[in-house]
Amino acid sequence: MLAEFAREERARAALGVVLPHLVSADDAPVLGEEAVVRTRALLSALAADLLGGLGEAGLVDNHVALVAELAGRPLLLAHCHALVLEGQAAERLAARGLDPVLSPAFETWLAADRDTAALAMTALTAQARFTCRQRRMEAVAAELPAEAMHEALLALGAVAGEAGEAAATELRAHYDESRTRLALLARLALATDDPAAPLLDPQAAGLALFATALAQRAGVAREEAVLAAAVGQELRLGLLLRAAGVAPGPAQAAMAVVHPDAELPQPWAELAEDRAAALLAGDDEGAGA
Amino acid sequence: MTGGVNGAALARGASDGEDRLIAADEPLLGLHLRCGGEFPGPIAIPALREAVQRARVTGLRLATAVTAQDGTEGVTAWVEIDPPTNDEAGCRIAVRQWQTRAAPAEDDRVAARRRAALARQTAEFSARLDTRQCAVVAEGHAPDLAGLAERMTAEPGKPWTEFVTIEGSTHHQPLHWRLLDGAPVRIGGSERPWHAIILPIAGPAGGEPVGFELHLVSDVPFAGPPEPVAGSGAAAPGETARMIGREVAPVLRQPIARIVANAETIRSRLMGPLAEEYSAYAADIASAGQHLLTLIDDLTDLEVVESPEFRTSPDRIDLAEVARQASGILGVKSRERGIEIDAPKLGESLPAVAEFRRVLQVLLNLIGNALRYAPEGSQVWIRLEQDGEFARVIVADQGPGLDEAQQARVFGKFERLGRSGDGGSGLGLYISRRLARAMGGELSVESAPGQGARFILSVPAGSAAAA
Repeated sequence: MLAEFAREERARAALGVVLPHLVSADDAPVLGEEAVVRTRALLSALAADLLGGLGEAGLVDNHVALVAELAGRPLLLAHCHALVLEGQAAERLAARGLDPVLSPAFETWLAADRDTAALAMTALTAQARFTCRQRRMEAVAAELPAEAMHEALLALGAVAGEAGEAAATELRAHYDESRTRLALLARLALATDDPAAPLLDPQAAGLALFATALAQRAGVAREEAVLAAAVGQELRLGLLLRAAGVAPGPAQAAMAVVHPDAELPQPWAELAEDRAAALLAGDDEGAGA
Repeated sequence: MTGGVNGAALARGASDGEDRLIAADEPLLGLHLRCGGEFPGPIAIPALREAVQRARVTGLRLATAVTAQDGTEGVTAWVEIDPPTNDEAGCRIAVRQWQTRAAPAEDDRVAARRRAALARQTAEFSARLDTRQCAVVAEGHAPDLAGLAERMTAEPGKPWTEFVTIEGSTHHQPLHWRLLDGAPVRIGGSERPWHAIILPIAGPAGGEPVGFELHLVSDVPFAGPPEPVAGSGAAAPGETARMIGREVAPVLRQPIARIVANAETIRSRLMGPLAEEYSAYAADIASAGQHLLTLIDDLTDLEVVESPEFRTSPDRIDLAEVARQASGILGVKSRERGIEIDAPKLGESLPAVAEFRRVLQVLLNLIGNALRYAPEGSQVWIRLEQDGEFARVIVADQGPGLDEAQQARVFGKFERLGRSGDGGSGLGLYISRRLARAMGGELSVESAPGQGARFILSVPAGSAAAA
């Protein structure tokens, strides 16, 4: 009973914070109706995938409860929300001619040495699958990063009892993070990390790899870099670019690709790296006046 | 098991149920040890320890980038970690990528500043050049260079290269400054061999330099005005003793420098394609020529230190700074040999009273020897200590070491300890010890076969307040 009431209390507490954003989605598209609906759809697809080993009956019995359980795990929820935002940003950029799958950088690597080409090809395939799934609002557990996967498997065990535990053990044994799209992108960004590789140029790298490299260099979670590509988060992108050590010129150029209509307070590109990092970390003292 | 993209692992390792590293290949093992780990022992690379822990607790196969600092360089590795199985309580670690970031931009700037400081300190002639390499102001600090400064400032429109002879070059137009930087130079009115150091003065936007500093440096000290040619023709005893430095070296240096320069041109195939074998022969010629040049330098030094009027000019110096400069100068060579020089950190200091240039010369000799004879992948330590009235620099290597008989002979003139063909002249340590003694100090060695060698340079200590 206490747990039930705690859930009701959480919902009431969130009302004041979330409701204004949901109602007037204009000033916070990251909480827009489309983003919310798509996030729910991903959780639903994920739950169905996790329950795949339990047969038709297991799916019907547990699906609603598992979606709720997954949604109650902040790390997993944030990851799914970031996937949605990434998909939305990719579509927005695709409308302006930036291929969501094959970027110029990939074309270069596919023609490079054998190891790089093989890695690039695998990452490219994963990225193509991701784009396809995003458009169909699908998600599979095998693509989750390890921490989110761990949460998902705990949720599965919690909801579906013994059968759920057995399914979780099976999924655990077959999971390989190195084959996920995000790990492949991270490894590719690391393997091609030389000054000549234009990883922090979204036009050349493509949004997916740009977000991975930006997160690596700025020392933040990839979800945060993806958030910065969403409409309404322009200054965050500016700060991340500076925190990643991108020079003012290229930073302005990257901004012009991702947020061409952004009107930012002028000195953002001149901000010192450590101040940008401090602002991002919410450290007002380090960020100065 | 993991699909083709993963490729072969660069290194593998394994942990036990308590996240202790129980097996590891290089370079993983080396990083673990440099991070302060024991083997076997708890994983000392923080990010790796965390990832292994996570794999063990979640039972998931992880793939992640692991970043670590090991003092001199940053390492980023891509690792994949297999969680424990029914048979094994620990994890298996596969390293797929290994990237080191040595010498970040900051270090390069420090090295450039150090080189500039060294040039300014040791130069006996300095000039400020404009973009066309014409002298705007010039000043000679040695008596035999005063004429050069006067000639240069008298004709301001002429590039500096017109007033000197660049050895091994017949160009009259000034070459690109990078090609002239380090060039051997002969100067009318001076008997000594010189070389040029050119430091660009960066423009406002970091573009083309807006001018240059020209410094002329000589390894041979000014020996006083040339003796007027005596009617009798019989040379004074002091003069016969200085024959190599004054007469033989200048005559030999020029043709040998030309041989080396031409051999280098052939070796690098600047004039067109060439069969591999010939390029290799040219490399041999160039290195033999370099050896001859070093030998001439050593013989010239030998004459200088053996002459009865040889004196050093002691000054208040910081041994830590000299050690840092010496290790900076040999940085490229140490990276080529894969040997790490562990020099005193910025901020360390040990005041002494000695001649900066001579201490640097001794340290370059000691560290150079260590780099030559120690095995690849080993370390050379430079340590400082004060012992009463003496300040000491210790250069320790992980080379084969010396037994007692060798230690007794190693400072001897032309002593090669049976070695040959490695570019040594057998004079370096002899000269170094003479220099140390001339400064009121000593150069000694402690070693045992298989234990490496510790060369200890002692010079009179300076007071901290004065340094």
